[in-house]
Amino acid sequence: MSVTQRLLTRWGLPLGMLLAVAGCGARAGGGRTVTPGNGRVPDGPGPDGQQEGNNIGDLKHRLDALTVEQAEKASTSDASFDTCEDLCSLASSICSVKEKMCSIADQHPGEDEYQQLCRKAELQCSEAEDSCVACVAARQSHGGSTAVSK
Amino acid sequence: MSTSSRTRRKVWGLATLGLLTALTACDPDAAAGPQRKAFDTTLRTHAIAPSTPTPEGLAYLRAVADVHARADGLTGDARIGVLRQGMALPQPSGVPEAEIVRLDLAARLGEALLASPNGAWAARNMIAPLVPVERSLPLARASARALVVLGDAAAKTGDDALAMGSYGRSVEMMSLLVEELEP
Repeated sequence: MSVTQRLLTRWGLPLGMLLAVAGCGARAGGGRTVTPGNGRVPDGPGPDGQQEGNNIGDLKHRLDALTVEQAEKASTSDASFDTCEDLCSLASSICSVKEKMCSIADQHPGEDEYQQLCRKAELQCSEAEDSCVACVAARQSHGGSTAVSK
Repeated sequence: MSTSSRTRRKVWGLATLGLLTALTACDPDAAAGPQRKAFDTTLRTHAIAPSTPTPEGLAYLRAVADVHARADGLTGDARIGVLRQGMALPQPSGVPEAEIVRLDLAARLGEALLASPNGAWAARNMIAPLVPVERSLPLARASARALVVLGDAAAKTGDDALAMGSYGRSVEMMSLLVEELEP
């Protein structure tokens, strides 16, 4: 997903929530309740749990609860996968740029600054790769099994 | 003050001046002023905090997303033309994310220019003013991508010092992003 798409998604979420709340409000205020099954009462046992109201306050409360639940799920599953993917992708990019830097440094054998910057990039590449490996290992130890390519 | 005292002070003054001149002459760096570095890896960054959506911001994001989508279906000069149109879109004020989006677009344009024949100078001239060492860059992948494009363009135009500096800044930026992500 591109930077622009990611931002549109992020900005789209609050807008979507606002629209959802607005939609709920209109339905609760002026809408008509339709009973499924032509008004016949179902034969089986009734639904478990507390009866949820349909007024704007109850709907807002349910929306807030669902939002919190979604955020919790994201932080425990997808987010950790995304973090590893981002870390490994960064490590790959750092090491790719390091190759270019050291290739240029090879053309300046007598110049210390070039050699030092190449060595620094090698270290940064190695550290980033370690972070990627540690993230994937931690994720797998927490029960995840999806492989992340470096 | 006696004449002999004045003479002694003059002699001491001249001797001190001579000593300082001799010391400066022995140190070529001091004579040349501040030490010159082969390249500049200075990196200034700032974090972009998520902002509240504004109609102008959303319109800009949608317009840039449309530019990317159109560019996806094109190649060569046609793609470059569409990306240039995107760069001409006015960046909305008060939308910090727009800075990242524009840098990302510039990086893509730079990559397209680098892929075109004789496009290295055009890429360098387009992206260099966006990521000078004096400017603080948003802490984001887009900044690192733009710096890599500048490094590639500099390497292709034979400026190894600018290439090393830009690559070095890019690696530094990405290392900061790694640190941010690490638990």
